[in-house]
Amino acid sequence: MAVYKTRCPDCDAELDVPSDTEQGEILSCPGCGLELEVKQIKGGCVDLQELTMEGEDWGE
Amino acid sequence: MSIALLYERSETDEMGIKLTAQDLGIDVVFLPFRKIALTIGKTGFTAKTKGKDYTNAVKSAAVVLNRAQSKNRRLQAGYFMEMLGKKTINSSRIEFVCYSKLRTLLHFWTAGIPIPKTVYVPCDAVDTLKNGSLIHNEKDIADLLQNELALDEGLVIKPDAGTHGKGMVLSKNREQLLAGIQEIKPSIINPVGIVAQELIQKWFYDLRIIVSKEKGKAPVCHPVALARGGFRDFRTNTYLGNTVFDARIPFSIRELAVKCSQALGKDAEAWVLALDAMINVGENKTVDDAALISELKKAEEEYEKVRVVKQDETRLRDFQGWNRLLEEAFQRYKSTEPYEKVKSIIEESLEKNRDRVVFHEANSCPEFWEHTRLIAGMNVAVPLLKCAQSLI
Repeated sequence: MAVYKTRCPDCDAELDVPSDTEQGEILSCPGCGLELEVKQIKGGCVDLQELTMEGEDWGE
Repeated sequence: MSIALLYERSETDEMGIKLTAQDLGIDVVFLPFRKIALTIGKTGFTAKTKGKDYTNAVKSAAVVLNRAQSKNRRLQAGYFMEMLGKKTINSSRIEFVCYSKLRTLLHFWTAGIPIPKTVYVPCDAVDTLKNGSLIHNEKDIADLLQNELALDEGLVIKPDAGTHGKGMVLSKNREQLLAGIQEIKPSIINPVGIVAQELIQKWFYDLRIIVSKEKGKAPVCHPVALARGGFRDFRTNTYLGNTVFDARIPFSIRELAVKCSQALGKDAEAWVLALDAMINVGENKTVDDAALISELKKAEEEYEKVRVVKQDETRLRDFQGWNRLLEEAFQRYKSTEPYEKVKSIIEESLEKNRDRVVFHEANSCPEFWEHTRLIAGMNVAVPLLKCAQSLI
């Protein structure tokens, strides 16, 4: 299967995104482990956005 | 040897630290403390994600800025890094104390710092017997608390490691108290027992005060506090929709804040702490509530424009662009008339009641990029990076 190349918006690691990936899917960056949401796939370009989470004992 | 920024997710504060490091020309390596395997064994230590080896990055770091967002993971991270020979900000000992409100208060109290009267009952509300049946301790706990605290004046139950005001319950009668105790279940933010405090009559605001210490220097208290204000609730957390103001801190309170940080920092060489304090204003108010509420309402309306920018998701794609918009929005908010009026009321009240301050909490990994930086004028990333440099 073909893959699109893109980069993690946080650590800049290269990600291989399968071409059948759909908008809204969650990927994990191999470099930093961050969960990224596929916001848009257009013309072979993949737009990824970090998911915002909040854990039970997070934040001060 | 370098400075490492250890974090779980790149939230606003962590992006702010990166941006500040760039501006100051300080090299920082990044250690994602999340989906990473930290391995110790016969062959030594490694730190690897699925796609990247961070072992050398960890080895080359002399100082680790511990910004793991989860309190529990931050404890593990700090201890792990120190066992590898790294200096940490803040040290795992400081993290251990600040993790718990009770431990923090014990350090304040032994140092002679004024605190709200606090009661700790180690027992949980419900115990489970080996045969599976339940023992209810709510009434016993309520009796113990009522023996020590005046219920009709307000009694606050709070999770020992709580955050953003979550899980705090105010009781003013026996029924409310029993219901509040029933709600407290052992959890990651409240592992054992019940912590309760007298309700401080803080009028409408509390204070967040920043104190930092570089190696070889005395601790410094930032002269302006972040004041969080509103009448929505007995809690003044901004997460609950309260509004923010800056307030110049009277010298005597700054001295106490430094003393608080020393009580927590003990023999650590450097630290950066955010201290939460309340003023027991009681009836010693400087203006009528009616006039104040009207000004606060206007200030809240102005602040709504800031909220819109804060929530804009462009932050995740273009941090620098979003940051510029954020700075402009806060600047506009601070220049409004209602902001100035409420700020003056807070500062006047602070001056008048400076001997009525109580310190109740310390934060070892404070959020700062939005409110503390743009309202109180303190970019905490600067002391974090300078303190780290002082340790190298």
